[in-house]
Amino acid sequence: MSTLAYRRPRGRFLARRFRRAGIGTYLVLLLFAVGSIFPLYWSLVVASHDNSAVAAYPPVLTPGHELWHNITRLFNSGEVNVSFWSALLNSAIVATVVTAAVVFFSILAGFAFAKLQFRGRRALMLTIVATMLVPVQLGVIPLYIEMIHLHWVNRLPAVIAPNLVTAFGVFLMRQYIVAAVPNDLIDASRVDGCHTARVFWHVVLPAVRPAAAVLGLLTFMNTWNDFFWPLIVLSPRNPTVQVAVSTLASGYVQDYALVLTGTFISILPLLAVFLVLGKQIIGGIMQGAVKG
Amino acid sequence: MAKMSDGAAVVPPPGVRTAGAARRRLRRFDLKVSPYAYVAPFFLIFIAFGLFPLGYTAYVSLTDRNLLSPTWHFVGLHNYAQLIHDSYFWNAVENTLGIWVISTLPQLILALLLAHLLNTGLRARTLFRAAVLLPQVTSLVAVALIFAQLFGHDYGLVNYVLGLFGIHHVYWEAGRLSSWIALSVMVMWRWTGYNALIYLAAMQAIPDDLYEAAAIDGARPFRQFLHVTVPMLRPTIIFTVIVSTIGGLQLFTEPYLFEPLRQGATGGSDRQYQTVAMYLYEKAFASSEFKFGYASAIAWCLFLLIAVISAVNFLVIRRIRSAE
Amino acid sequence: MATIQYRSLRKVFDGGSVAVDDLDLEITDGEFLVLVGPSGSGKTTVLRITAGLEEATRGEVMIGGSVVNGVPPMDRNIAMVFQNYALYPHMNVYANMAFGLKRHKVPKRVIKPRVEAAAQMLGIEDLLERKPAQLSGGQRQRVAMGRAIVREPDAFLMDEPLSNLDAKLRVEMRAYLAALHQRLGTTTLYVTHDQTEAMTMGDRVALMRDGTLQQIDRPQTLYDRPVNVFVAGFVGSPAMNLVRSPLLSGAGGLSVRLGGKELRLPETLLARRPGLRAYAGKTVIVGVRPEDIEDAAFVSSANGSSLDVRVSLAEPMGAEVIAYFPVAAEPVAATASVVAARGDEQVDTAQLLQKVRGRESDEVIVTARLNTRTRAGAGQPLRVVVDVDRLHFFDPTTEEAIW
Repeated sequence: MSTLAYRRPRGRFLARRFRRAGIGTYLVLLLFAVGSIFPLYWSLVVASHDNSAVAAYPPVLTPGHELWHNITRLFNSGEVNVSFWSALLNSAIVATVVTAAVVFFSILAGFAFAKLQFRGRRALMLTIVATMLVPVQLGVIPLYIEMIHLHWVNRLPAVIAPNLVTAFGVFLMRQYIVAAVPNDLIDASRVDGCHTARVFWHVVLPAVRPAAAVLGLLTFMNTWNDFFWPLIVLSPRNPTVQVAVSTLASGYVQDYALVLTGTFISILPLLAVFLVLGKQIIGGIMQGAVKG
Repeated sequence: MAKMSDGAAVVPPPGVRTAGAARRRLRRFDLKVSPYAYVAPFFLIFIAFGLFPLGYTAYVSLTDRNLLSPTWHFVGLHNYAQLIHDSYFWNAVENTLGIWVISTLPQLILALLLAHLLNTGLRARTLFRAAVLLPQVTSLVAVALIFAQLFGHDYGLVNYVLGLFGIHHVYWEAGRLSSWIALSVMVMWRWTGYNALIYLAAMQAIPDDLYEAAAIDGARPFRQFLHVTVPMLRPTIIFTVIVSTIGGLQLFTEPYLFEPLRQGATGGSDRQYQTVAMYLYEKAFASSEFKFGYASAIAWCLFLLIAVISAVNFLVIRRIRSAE
Repeated sequence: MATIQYRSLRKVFDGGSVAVDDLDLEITDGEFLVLVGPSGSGKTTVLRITAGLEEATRGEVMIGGSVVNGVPPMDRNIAMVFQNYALYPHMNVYANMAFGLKRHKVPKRVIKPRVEAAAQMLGIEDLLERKPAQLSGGQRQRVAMGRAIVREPDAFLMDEPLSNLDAKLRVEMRAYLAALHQRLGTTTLYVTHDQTEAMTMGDRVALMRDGTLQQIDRPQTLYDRPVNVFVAGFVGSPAMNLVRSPLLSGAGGLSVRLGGKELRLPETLLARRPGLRAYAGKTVIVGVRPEDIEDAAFVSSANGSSLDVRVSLAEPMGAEVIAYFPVAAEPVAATASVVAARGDEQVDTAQLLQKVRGRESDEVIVTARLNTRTRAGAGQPLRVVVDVDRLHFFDPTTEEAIW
């Protein structure tokens, strides 16, 4: 048998993802990138002028100097119809608590579904997956009734409690743990002297860190951006930041500069997270795509 | 005393010790009971705030429950019958479907194209990926408000640019199709990058030798795309279509904030862009009617709508030639 | 006293499949017992039940004289080595080896010297700081063994530990394990599907099939006196040749027919297998090992047991030549399943050749191990001598050996 040295494919036969991109590709991609960023940039432009600039013709395209002023106006709750400070604080509290809870409970339940034996495991898992297909709006009305009974209307627990667990989180963790924790590793730990809780602590927890991070990021982002339910159950007196921004925009006189300053501030924390952890977020989404 | 596992007691021969019964009991407990402890927190909260409301909505939809009145009655399918004759409802359905069609199809095609472009040996590839994912990070509220401003009639940037091409003064918000287009642009702006990344991941998982074989057979790049990439991507396409469907038919925030003066979620002075979710909100929380029963019926119809359309999508896409 | 005993052990999985069927077995203290068999034979299940990772449906498992049914694995004083090593990825080698001891509340001052001593024994003392991802397969396996050794258990349980290693490493590690066993003397239950491993490593070998124990004996006994067709075909490489033949009663005594010739059975054989006489005139299954067939040119006294054949394929292996030639004979139906069970790396060539020739109903491809200086070549005629004294005989229906 002859042995041919392996020749790296060249030219037409080189896999697409290794081929150098042409100018056309870069141009179109640049178009997409600009299109993606522009609206955000635009909001910054508007936020950094005073309201009269909005009506300018031709429209202003470069940032102005009023940003700081607009921000102080935003937080001066005397001038504005909502307290933006408390909105930011509320969102921070809600997002943090929900993220911690979702990640923790999802790992717990995901571990059980992935690696433990118990009656009804299959049926329960199918129920969970099925509910992922159900729209949020379906349960909204009874949930509101529940909140009335619990006296939680217009209070933070109303937006925290229903979100403490998600079917998506359990599903994600289960899939990940099935793949990332080999069964004989669990067997080995049992022989070494671990009962189930120790298996969880010593074997599962160290292994799920990447997935937990992705789930945490996604949950934080989604909770921060949540609008429909907070709109229903909270009022402008005790809002999350999304509700607050929408309240800003509901006045009779449209102060666009103020409104878009509000949107800009509301985006900032997530933007910061994205700048720092963007690579992980991208990786998480892409890995999930292949496994799903 | 040693026991055989099938229950019959056995007297052990002299000299044979048996290990502690306590450890055995503990182990049985650990193996049989503890799994439930791990899923309990999830299920307790899930049932209380997730499953129970879902079921209860069905019940409420069969009543005439109303936040304002202290009593309510069981009315059977009356709410549903009323819905069938409710022109506002069907208007909302039409709006929802219209927006969904305009936003989903082009968006996924664009996402495919974008993924295809990203699937090359790019410099600064993380930068490009991050740029197209950026819209995902922004909140729906921010998107809606920013784009509402951009599509503003008098001072919106979009009209300014169109004006340079000779198209003047489009009343985006006022018209039916125009409002649909504006809202579709918002949805597309937000989701194209995200879906592109999902397609990109799936594309990169396609083995290279499939392309090599196609190239050897004489297929030009475009044919390779049609005959290798798309079939291998079919499950991913199904996934994104279904997720887009579920998300798209639930559309609420963008149209809700598109209205210049929030007049109770009517979706424009003519209800030209009121979606089903908005109609639900209007009936339950916005108008001073607080008709929970009726709104619950709307919620179930929305669910039905999503289920049906998702099923249709699934069947249609399955007919794409599957990967050999 | 670290014996392991199974009494009427039975394991039925949900869904009804019987993995282990009424097993009675005793492993003596310090013995290295190999449990071998094809996949599905129940050998891994027995191991896992011994470890406590599965529970028996019926019957008892006893370790060191105590019944351990229902006792958690950690309390059985056993240590296990896994096929895929099962090392904790986020801990370094030292921590991997120390983990079990910590869980069993062994004091730190005892752990350290034990781990270091075991590492020395295994040649991994320089790797203690590394994590598993930075180790080669062979190193990982040694760490896995180290983890088991430091526990100083009553018994080692090994689940195909060498299957994931490449051929060269496997041979090295086999010798290593044997030396280790010499030194430590711990009772060991070793599961494998590879019959070569089984024969070379075990004090005794227990062969299982479909949940039932076929035979348990010293390797040489398994080879010399297999109790049935399955054991005969499973043990020994290349596999034993099996044919159906009538047992002919004639003037000179009993003989069998092979390749058109009648081979007379010597008195010595009949003395060892007196039960054969009862089969006179009936069909029996005859087995002959490849090593009991030789090129006539190298056999000094050619009694009447030679055959003239035409070689289909000759494989020079260096120390010997393996020749394949067709012989007119009735094949044994069970051969195919036994061959499939062996799990040798090489596909059974004789079976393949049989299929290619397509005359499966009246011809058997016989394998022979010939002296390396033989002139046998593909397509060439050859005269071979069958050592009739070493023939094996089995009942055609029960497939059990005839004695």
